[in-house]
Amino acid sequence: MKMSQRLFLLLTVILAMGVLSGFSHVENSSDQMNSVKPMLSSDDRKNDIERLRGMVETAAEHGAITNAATTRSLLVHLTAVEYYVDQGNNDKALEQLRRFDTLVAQHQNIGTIERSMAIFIRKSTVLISNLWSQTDDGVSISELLGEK
Amino acid sequence: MNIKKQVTMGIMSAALGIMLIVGGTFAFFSDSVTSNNTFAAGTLELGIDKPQLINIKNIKPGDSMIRDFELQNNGTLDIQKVVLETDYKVIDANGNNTEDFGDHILVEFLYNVNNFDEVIFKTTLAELKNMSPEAINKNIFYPELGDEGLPAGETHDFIVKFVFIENGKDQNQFQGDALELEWTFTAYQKDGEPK
Repeated sequence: MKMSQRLFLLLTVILAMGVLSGFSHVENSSDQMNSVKPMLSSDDRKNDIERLRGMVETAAEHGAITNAATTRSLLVHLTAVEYYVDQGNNDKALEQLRRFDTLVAQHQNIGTIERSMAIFIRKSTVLISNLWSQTDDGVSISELLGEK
Repeated sequence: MNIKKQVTMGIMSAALGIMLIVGGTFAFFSDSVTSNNTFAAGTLELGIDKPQLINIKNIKPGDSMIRDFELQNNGTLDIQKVVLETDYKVIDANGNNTEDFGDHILVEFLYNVNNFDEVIFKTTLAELKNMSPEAINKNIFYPELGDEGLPAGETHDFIVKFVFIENGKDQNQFQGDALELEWTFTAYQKDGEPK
């Protein structure tokens, strides 16, 4: 494995840990999950967006995104999501967060973002959007995944 | 038969022929039906949810502002494209401007969220005045993503970011000034098609 690939892998792991640790603002107690819906603050949501933005920027820095236009396309869309969060329009923010996954998938399909990086960003996006929707609508992740 | 009788016979034969033709027309069965037709034109009606996108006071170089708006197709016809025209008026409070205030207001981006389409990218209002960007049209990802134009009854969300450019030079001439921006969105129909 090349040095740059090792570095990239290391960064990916660090980012993944950051994403997972960021979910700590959700109550873990199963009783509370069933009875009291955790409240996500605007800052929590903005932190989630910041993490996604960090992933895109890291991917761009390490050449996993092949051109500047793709990086900008992804970052501008995240800016739109953040704007809706700032406006308190959580429904629209969630809708556009989900569409961010669609956008990354499209870039993955046309080869402007490396597959492994695209999958990593998409999984993170789905995790975050599931968390947001669970908080807003009381829909559990299991329901979203069609397990119920 | 003399010539006079021949002429008379000819005229009588012709008259008989005409009578047979006319009489024959009325002699056969006939039927008729009337078709009442209509050509009703559809409507092309572009709407916007916020007649005033931005009204901000007391800005200074370096400030940025993000706003959103929605373009709606309230008509019955699909819209092929929407073109944006820019105009503005500068109110020079102290009558001391040597530069165009429009050169100092940047549209960092105008983003069609539905189409994932960055309509405007880092362009000053002065530059935009001479441009006619398409706010809605077929985007680069169509048909996989986004719409072809703006279908009847649908809406597109937009996010726009303005920046009062801080250029590191003396911009005191703009203190107290105002810029009244007018954005006109014009919708165009799709090409005609066989119906």
